[in-house]
Amino acid sequence: MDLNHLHLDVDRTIITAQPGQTVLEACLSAQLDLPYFCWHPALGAVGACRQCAVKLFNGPEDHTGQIVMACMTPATSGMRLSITDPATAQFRDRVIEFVLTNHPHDCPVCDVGGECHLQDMTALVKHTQRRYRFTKRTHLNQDLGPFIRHEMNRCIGCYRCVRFYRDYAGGDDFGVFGANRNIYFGRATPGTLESEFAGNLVEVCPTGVFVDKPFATRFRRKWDMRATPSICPHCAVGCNITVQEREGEFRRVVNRHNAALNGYFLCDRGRFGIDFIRSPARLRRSTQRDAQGPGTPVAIPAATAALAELLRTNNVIGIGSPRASLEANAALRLLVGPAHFYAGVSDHDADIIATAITILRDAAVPIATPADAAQSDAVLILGEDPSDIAPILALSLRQSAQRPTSEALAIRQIPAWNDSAARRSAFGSPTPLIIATPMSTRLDDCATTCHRIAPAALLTLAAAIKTQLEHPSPADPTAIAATLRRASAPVIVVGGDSALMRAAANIVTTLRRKGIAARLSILLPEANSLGLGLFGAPPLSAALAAIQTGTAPHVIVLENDLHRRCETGPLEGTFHRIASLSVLDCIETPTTATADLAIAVGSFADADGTTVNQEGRAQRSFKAIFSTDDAPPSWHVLRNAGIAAGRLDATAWATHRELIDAMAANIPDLAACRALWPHTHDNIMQRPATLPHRYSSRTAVNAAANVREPPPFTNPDSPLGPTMEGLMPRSGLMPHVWSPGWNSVQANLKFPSAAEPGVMLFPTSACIPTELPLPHPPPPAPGILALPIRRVFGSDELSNLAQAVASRVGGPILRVNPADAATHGLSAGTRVDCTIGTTTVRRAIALDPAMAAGVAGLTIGVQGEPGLPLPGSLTITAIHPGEPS
Amino acid sequence: MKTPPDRPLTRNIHRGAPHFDIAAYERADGYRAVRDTLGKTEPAAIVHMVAESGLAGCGGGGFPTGRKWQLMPGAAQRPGPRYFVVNADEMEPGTFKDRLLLEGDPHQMIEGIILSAYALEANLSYIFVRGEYVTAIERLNTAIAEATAAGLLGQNILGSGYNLSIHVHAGAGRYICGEETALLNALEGHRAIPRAKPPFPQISGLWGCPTIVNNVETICNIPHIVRYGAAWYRSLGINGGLGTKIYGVSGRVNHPGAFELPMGTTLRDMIEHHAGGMKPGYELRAVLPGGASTGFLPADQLDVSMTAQTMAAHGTRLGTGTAIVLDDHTCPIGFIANLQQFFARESCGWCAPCRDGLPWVERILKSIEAGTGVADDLDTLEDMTGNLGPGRTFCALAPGAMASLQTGLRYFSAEFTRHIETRTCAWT
Amino acid sequence: MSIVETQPPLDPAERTEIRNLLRHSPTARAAAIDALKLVQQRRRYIADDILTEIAHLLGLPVAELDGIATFYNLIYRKPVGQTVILLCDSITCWITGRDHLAQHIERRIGIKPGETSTDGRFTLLPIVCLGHCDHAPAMMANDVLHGDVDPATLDAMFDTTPLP
Ligand SMILES: Cc1cc2nc3c(=O)[nH]c(=O)nc-3n(C[C@H](O)[C@H](O)[C@H](O)COP(=O)(O)O)c2cc1C
Ligand code: SF4
Ligand code: FES
Repeated sequence: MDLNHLHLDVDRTIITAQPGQTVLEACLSAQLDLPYFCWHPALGAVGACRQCAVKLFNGPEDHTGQIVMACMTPATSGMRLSITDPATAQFRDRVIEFVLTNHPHDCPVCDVGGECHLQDMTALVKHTQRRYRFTKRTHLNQDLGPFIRHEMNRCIGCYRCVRFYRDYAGGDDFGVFGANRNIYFGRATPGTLESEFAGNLVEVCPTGVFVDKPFATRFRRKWDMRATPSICPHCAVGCNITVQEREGEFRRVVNRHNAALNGYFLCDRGRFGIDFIRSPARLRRSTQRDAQGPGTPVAIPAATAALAELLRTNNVIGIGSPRASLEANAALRLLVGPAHFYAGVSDHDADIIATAITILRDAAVPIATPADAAQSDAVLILGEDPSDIAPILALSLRQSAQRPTSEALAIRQIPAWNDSAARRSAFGSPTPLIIATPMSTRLDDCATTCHRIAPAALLTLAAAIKTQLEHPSPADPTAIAATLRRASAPVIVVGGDSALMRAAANIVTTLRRKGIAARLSILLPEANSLGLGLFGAPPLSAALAAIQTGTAPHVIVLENDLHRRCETGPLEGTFHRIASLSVLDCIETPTTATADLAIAVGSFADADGTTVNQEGRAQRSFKAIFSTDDAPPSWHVLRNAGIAAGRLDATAWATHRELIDAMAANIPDLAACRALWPHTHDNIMQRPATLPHRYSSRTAVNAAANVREPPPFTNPDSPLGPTMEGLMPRSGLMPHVWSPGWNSVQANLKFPSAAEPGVMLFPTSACIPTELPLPHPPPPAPGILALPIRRVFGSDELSNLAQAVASRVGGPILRVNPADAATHGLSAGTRVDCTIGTTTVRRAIALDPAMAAGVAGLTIGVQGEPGLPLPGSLTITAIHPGEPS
Repeated sequence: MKTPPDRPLTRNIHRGAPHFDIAAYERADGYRAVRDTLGKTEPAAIVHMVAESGLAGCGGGGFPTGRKWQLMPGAAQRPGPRYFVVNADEMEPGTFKDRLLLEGDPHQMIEGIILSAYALEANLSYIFVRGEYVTAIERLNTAIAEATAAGLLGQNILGSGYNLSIHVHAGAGRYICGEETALLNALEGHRAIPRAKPPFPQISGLWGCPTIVNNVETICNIPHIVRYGAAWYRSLGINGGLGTKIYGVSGRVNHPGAFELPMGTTLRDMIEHHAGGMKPGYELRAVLPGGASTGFLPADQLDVSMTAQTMAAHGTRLGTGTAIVLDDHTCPIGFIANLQQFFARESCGWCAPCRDGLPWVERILKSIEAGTGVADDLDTLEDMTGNLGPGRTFCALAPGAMASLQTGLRYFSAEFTRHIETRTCAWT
Repeated sequence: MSIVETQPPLDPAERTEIRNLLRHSPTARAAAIDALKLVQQRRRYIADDILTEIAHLLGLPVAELDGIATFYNLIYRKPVGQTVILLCDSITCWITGRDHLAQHIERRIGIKPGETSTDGRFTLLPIVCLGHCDHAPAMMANDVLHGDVDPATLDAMFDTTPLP
């Protein structure tokens, strides 16, 4: 008998369970159908809904048994249970009947009809008849902002929403009001839900109370949409998503469970930002400059030919992009040659990315996944606020901070799944979360200590922590080292500065040397920052320098708005010298607007592609949107141009796989991406089907235009089947679950996918990482040091184009401490001109009482603004009252 | 030693007379037990004595107090704060015994708290009083101030080295606050939602620290048990009961009221003797022996003694020991409907069966009462008594609500049927 | 929610009292109910703006404090009259005729449970058992407990309460 497993007798069948599991988890893992509402794998159990009742027998002689809640009962070996027991089954039926007394039964017009956990559970208990014959109570709905529509009458009172929003995600503008059957879940007053995780309510709610608002405007039933596994393009965490479409139109994004990364949740930038692919700012057609000027439409073949023409000059430089896939960047690099390929990022970003690579690859510092972060027993955040840069990582860090220590649980004999009791145990004995940043962060509310220090002092602090770890001395004012030393799996999160990153890596190394399983988490700016960095290309400034010195080259820019990358002066000062500018992009940008050749290519959802997240995890996303007028992926255009120009032979990169092979041959760091090619079958029947088998009107969808049934779309690059024929694999490739009783997003709780984990390019080894030399600190800059503030809504280029996200973007601000503001005669809300380098931008003053003196934070990524040389020294000029702001 | 009283709990309470201040209380031998015990008797010895006495919780659950106390880990084993909490929420309909004790002899209560907290090695005690008990709150606060001034509360009480402070928390009203774990949530400033057990409050109570919650009447017994011993306490009861109990009778009787009587007094004795029998023209049909959460005893079972065991044997519970009389001029369906209206409204809204099931029960009963009931309603009601019963809901509120319904369906089935068949209520 | 009334912001005395409560409370949250009651004592009910102010003083989210305020029976989130009549509607009072008293109140001053008289003098609210069953029917009017209530008791109150 396997000692690591528990054996339970459920209705005379022996099932196995993991120690620490509840009866509910054990039954679901054993694929038994046991309904539930209030339980959620990430939220734990509270025993409120009473839906998961089972009969528990006290030994073999007990024939009466006792009804218990499976979610609140720890699984123990030898336990005898029954799900089918008639009295228990009847009770489960009644619970459904109870919660339906106030439910409107509006399934036909409900947004989650067909993928509703309440429907599923009703079907599971085989409940058919409702006897309640009195008036239902009704509620008024609230306006909850651009992301979520409120339909309170559908509420069945499971409390999951408030447990997620408030307890799990730390949101404070949502709650439960009233008592008895008059409980109400919403805000104190109508208004936009402020948490950037609000969108998860759509999936956390077992029925249709919280509705995806943008999706509702282009609604289709779940069974009528194609579902494709994908990767969120909005930050370097690389959350796993599922993209859904119908009739060639993007419909919505839902979470795709990945235990290591996003688990069951996404941030709202990921969920709602992808609407950018429907934005009016999409580059819909390619254009070319002719005698009349730029902007004359040109078909793709002609555009490709024009590109080939340029390639033939042999005087081409290529500028890659951290928002383009590895494939696109690789293709451009292969075409223009490594010597002419540049990473289209600022010097600062390039420095950070290069340092991250040094830490990951050369020093082999073990990296923390968000899941590691959630489980860590001490966290130190150095330099930057992860809340805006890597929201899902911040959500994980919050879980660590809100978790009681294991001693606190042990002393009370409370299992971690007992959510309310566990949370109470954290009172007075929180898990350490130490934040050392120049400005306040949105994790401060759950931190045990916050230090507000300027960047230079941060470096000193990091070095001091390392020294303290090596030579503990009683005089340790911050006690950070002592806290880290007491932990068994601490996580250090660092970002914003390459020297600080090195120092943080050295802390991890020192802890590792002491036998403490510390891990590092590095904040990187964009979805494929690390992937682009692995090509080892010099930054944008090097490209500009090259242009300045050589004969005027033809420049090909890949999916990049260079105006966001550097100041206008240097860019224009250089670009007027070039022979021509060609841009491949899926959106209109100031860069495409000035291009001689602007080629409309597919977005991440129109093409297969690979990105490398901040952990060094390479992940594949697949073409998710199929329509007859699809824009080609960048690498197709580049390949065709390369062939036409004679740079590639006619058979080169005929498939995605061949491109990956070519890339791997050139860039050894990316060789592991080959393993990402999942098993595929020529036999379409053996592929995961992206269309559900209830997909309706397949043959009639285009009937208005053409009664002939179109052939199914094909995508030779993808392991997924384009039609409804195929498999439903239990893996991250599973496009959707369609199974009796399990049709909601909750189904992944019963069918936990062995989520496609991607490939770790720098797998963690057990050996001690290498210590890194620290650079000499730069001389202090004169005046105020301005640091960039990246905001979850507003700083990311693509998501800003999504209508709903755009409406959440706050005005640009300059954050200063009140004392510094006073010296400059500024108060909150004052409009000021901020000059950094040669650029002046307008900001409103926001006071941050905790902010380190002499430091200011400047929101970046503001639409229409050039890239700012940040960090940098800042000059503030107050605007005179009369001036327009 | 003074002759032990035979009505210890109410010995200082006299109808019409003012309540005792600290001087009067001490003249009547008050705080004797505290003076004799603090610093002189080991805390564990008091716990042992209380266990020996057989004292059972008077808040309605009837759990043996000594056993409950023994489940709290010792201060050596579990360092850190520990709390002793008094449950003075008293909102169970038909129950009016704790108010009598709080208003009538507040110092007895304070003395009980000092001894209990000392026994449990707790240095902080909260009295959770329902907000409507304005007079009781006032008197408790005065009594605490008096006791503090007399050195009976505060630091190093009577030189014993023991510290204790007592805080009065006035509730903001909800029956569920009486449920001990909901009460703890209310004290912490949360919505008063019950907590899952385990962990029991003894292990993880107020702010996750070891906590004991006891009812007012339970605690008022402690000074006497400590002073006169467990054997004396046990001897006060009759018919197999232990100690005394504050029983009460309300409804259409001649002298409704609360009476301290030997535990085990019969219901008939209480109603006919102490409450003066039924008002002229009214006949007794049935009794809820111990508040709204207990089941009916029909008129022919009044000779049972009022102990937890006998009540259980007769298909109901002792509850709070305050009986509500159903007379022949009152519609039993209306009576039960009123009880269900109470429970439906006071459901905290946490668990689905109680939150959504009780309002349904209430509506069915009101519909039957209004003459619009249908035959299937009786099956539905019967079904509810099981599916809202013990173990099904999160706490004992809904099962308590089902007690009167379940026994009512049995004893008044003819009335139920007649309402439905004649589509009218004979009593209105 | 038709009645919209605004109240002046918390005055310094109220703020000081709330801060005192905070000082004596183990956590800010634990002072929440007392703070609400304290303010309600002076203002009869807790208006939205006042709730927000109290929440800020306590350092609790507004939604959280409102969740607490709306849970309990004795915190009024809507305007109430000068005298709040809490008429027990639990079992013994029901047996002994509280429904007749409610009808009497409606006849005399025209309010049903949950309503406030147009002159602003009275609000009638049902309340659970007041622990005064031996003197049923019972009611509380502005913190004063009345037992053996009959129409005459009510009439005396209606006749002697001045206009606000
Ligand atoms: C819904 C409900 C309401 C209760 N109300 C009260 C109450 O008002 N007063 C009380 O002392 N106990 C009440 N109890 C019982 C308490 O939960 C708890 O058992 C009691 O306070 C323990 O004290 P004791 O052991 O001294 O009786 C209630 C229980 C439930 C389930
Ligand atoms: S039974 Fe459930 S809803 Fe009812 S009071 Fe108890 S916990 Fe709350
Ligand atoms: S899932 Fe077990 S009670 Fe809700």
